[in-house]
Amino acid sequence: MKTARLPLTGRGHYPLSQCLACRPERDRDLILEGDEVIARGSGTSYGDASLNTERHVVLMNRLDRFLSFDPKTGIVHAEAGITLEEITSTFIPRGWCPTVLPLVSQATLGGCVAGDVHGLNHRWTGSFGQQVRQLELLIADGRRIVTSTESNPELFWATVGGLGLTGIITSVAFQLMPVASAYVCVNQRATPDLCVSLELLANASLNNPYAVAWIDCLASGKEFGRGVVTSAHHANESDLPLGTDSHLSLQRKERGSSLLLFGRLSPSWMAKIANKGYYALKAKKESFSLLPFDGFFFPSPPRFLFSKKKRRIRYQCALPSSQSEQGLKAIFKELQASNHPPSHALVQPLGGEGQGLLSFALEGYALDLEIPLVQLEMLNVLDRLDDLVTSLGGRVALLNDCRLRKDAFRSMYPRFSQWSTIKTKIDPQTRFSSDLSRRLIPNVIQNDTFGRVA
Amino acid sequence: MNKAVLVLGATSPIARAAAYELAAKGHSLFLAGRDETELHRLTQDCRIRFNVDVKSGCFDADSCKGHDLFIQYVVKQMGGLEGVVAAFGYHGNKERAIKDFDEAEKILLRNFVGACSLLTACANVLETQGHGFVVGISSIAADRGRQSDYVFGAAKAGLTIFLQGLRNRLFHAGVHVLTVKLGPVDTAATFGEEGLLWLSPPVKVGKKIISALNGGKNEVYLPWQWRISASLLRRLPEWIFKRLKL
Repeated sequence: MKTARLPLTGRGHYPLSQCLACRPERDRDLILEGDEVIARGSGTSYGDASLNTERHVVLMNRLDRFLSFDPKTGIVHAEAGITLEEITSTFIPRGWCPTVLPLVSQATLGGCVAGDVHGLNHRWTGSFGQQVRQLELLIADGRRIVTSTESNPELFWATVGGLGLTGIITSVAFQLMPVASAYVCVNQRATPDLCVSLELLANASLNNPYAVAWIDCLASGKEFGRGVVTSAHHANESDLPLGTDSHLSLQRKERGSSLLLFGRLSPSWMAKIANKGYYALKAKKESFSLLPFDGFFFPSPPRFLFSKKKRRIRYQCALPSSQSEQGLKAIFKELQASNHPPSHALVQPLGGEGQGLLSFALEGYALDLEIPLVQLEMLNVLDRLDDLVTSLGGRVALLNDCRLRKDAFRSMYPRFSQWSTIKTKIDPQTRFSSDLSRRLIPNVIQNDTFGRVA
Repeated sequence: MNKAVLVLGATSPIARAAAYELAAKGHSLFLAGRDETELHRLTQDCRIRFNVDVKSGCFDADSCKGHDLFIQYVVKQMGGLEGVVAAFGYHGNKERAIKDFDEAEKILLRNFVGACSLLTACANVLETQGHGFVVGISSIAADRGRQSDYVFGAAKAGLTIFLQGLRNRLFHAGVHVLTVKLGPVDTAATFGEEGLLWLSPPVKVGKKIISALNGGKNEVYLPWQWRISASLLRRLPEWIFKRLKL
């Protein structure tokens, strides 16, 4: 397989690493090369989990074949490089949908498992790893082994959420759920402050599988924490207007309004006006709408907001239920005091802790921020937020992380020592490593002698 | 009307993309190649994605004597034949081919002789039924003999003229022949190489091939920019061209 030195980065364009990439075209081309290697999907995560400065990266996106599908059980088996867009294109018209959907259409199956991603329905269905029935792993000695919750469960739960550090996930068999249509019933209600936002969010998630709150980070005073709570469910036939035929046909080209826009407007006065406008629009009255599948799950903001020169950091943290309101208040206040606060945040309820040893979820709420990295001083603000989150018993998600310190990581992930034992057993020479693993667990990994382009 | 299409060289990413476009339009497929495992995986993938009848089988482009039998086998398996996409080839080692005739022979046999043999067998079937199509994958290297790649260029140039004659012959039988002149595509062969112009992903190329076929085109350059480059190159007088190092 040819190797090329390529500059790789995540969706936030920070950090950027020069990596030795190879790209297998078919399953039998996938052979381990190099002493230090990591797999990479579409590169839609923000952090450095799939970057490996001056070391090998295997680009998995050409390994995208479906291997089998059982229409009786809804279990589909596919190569790890297949994207959620391809999975939904194939199965929504047949009345099946992935149970857990992160809002990123280009995310790969392997990436979803490696990050143990969660969707907006985490309280109802758990994370992606819980839908996986079996996965095939290419391990450090070149062998392929199949693992599941019944066969080698320790390795399975170290791989789910394990960020590719136990081996290369080559194929995954996972559970789909039946859906009645390719439409989503969406309800939106504006909330005047943080307390009401959280209360409504909790209620919304009791009645609807998908629930998320958009919080205006720039509002202060009485309006602090005001937002819009969105709840949704897959439309049943009775929800659709009379005479709707082809209710399972997926309108791939037509994208609905972007409900869950990540704020990319700057300077902040523009963002403040946009936030005010959005809130005022939603505050008029509670809205009920029927959106096509892509309009809710794979929103695509206008292209001009996707500037490649702007660097962004994704800060995702989970706070336990009892500490959520207080924690969110403190976090928003800290962000407002900084020079370049993010314009808005997304808050969603989380169900219990995942079984993946490095899984992010815990019983409480997740906060999702996309922060423009205008000055590196923002990293210090985030370090302070880490300390705050740790003190409240929460944790920061690793999949989109690029700057968490190793001591903070150890406090947030108490099951790390269990994971480390399995890692040492399955990969004694530490063949699978990435920029993230060298940053967070350096004593397990060899010395990092190469600088990274910041 | 039977809508079966034979894809020769189906394991190539371009052929796979073209095959999938055809399957999306409801054609049943016979995927042919050398790698049996990969053919099986592609068959499963295609069946799941498009819910069409997909079969596969191995063929050897080099052994021309077996080609007639192979085409008859495909027609029997699929219950008929609507079209064929000839996407197999062997680019070989350019530097070795110009010095070592064994390599050159391999390139010429597979890309030209083998392709012509299979296309003849397919044409004979399609001519009798009065409808159908043939897609032949040629290359921009066929436009002019350049010092860096003239063996492959010669093979593809021969194929291009063969397809042109086939187009002429089969027009009267209601069968359409499309010649695709491909520039470099983003595949394993070009991965990591710098200085390649207008590199397209295979999925896009596959889609464009089928849309050119549906549009009734006779010849198409993919990506389209190569048409301009090719016409400029062809107009260059020989006394200048022979001095260049392209």
